[in-house]
Amino acid sequence: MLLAVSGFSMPVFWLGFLLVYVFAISMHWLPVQGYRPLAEGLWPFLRHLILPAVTLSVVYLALIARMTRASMLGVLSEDYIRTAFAKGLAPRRVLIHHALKNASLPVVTIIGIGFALLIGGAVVTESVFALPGLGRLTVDAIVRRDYPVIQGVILVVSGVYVLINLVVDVLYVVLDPRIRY
Amino acid sequence: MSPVMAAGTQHEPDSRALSPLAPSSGAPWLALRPGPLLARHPTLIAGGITLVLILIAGVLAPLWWTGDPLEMKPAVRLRPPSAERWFGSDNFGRDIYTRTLYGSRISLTVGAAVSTLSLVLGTTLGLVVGFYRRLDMIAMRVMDGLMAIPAILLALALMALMKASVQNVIIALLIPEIPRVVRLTRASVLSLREHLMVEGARALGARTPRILLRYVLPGLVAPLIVQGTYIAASAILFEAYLSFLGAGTPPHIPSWGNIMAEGRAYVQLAFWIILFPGIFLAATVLAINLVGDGLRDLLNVR
Repeated sequence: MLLAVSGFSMPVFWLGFLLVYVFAISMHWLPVQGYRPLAEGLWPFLRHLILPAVTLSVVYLALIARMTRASMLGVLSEDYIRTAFAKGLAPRRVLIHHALKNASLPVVTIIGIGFALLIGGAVVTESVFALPGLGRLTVDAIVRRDYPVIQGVILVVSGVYVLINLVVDVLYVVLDPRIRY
Repeated sequence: MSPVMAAGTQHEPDSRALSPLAPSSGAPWLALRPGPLLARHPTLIAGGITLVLILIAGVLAPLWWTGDPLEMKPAVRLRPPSAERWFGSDNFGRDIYTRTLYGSRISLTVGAAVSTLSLVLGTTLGLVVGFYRRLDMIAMRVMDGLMAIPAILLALALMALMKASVQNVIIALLIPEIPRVVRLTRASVLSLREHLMVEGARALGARTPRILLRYVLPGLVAPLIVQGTYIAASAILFEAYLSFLGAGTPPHIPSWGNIMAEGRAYVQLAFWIILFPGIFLAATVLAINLVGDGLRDLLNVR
């Protein structure tokens, strides 16, 4: 649990530099920065994405782990979990089928909300790893006061955010048949 | 009425009543462990102690064998950590240890200011908006609009419009936080408004401001305190992000984000420039989050 909260508490760019130092500068396993398009081959493309992806996942992972734990603790104290154990189901089956499914609503919510966090993280991560993505474009546009680009990016990002929340709302129905719209 | 008292008894009675055959402890994950505060809330204590240590380090920075955070010594540029310079030196020969301790002042100030101001403004707005239906419709759409923009982008855009200063960083971080506090407050107000005691108070002739302050606000204190700790933690992180992206605290003021931002060009040569302020930053944010989690358990905020 401490690990999950720590992941949540680290600055993304600091973690990125830490990983770059260990895996790229010290061990020479992965490239330090940059981006290769998929046209240059699958492996070069993936190699340049490993470190940024890991960096960006840690915060999101910590957030989801935290929410899942809290939600699972709540569900595990329900009566039907005791019933499931009492009728002799394997603990794994109880945990996954009975508990996790019912505990997943808040988790799905946080995955949707966390998407905003992911965008923020992407802005910073892209500048650490010199990736030419939307995040870098935004930072450059803001620094240069390129207002049409800023407006465009905010429109796209907000639109995607709203869409993701819509998907989350639809997922509620799949996960919990009691919910109807 | 106290939330703490309601906490302990929430699950116990019905789980006992329904399972007379179960061991007296009930479900093991429900058992309330008796013991002193330390044993029951180790994270709260650990987080609190770390936070106090960092606070002391920042406030009393000149006493901790530091020098001048702005003094440049070009002869000792990019030196690794040693007995003389505990955290090494940066590209201008400035002492990283000194700068890190002084930097905690900025980060803690930003965290405290953003969380206090957003709580005060957000709660006030939330109380008013939650109580007046017509205002609610308009104000909440504005809040929704603000919340659709990711916080970091909004803060960046605000910083681009303003001059770089600590005060403006606080304002830029404050604005994305306010809608979240307003939502939290408003949700509670909406449910408390229908409460019998509010109706009773109105029947006795109490006016709306009195009802809001004496009947609704007390029920909000616990969740708002917990929310405040999380806001402080994220404000400290976001200050570092803004500085890192070059849109935060002006370069002549040492803040953790600034020190790391200047060190990014020297990752290969002098990794310690980024390492140490980052450790302090992560420890501070972690401590605040732990205190927040501890308070949430202690005050039984969902």
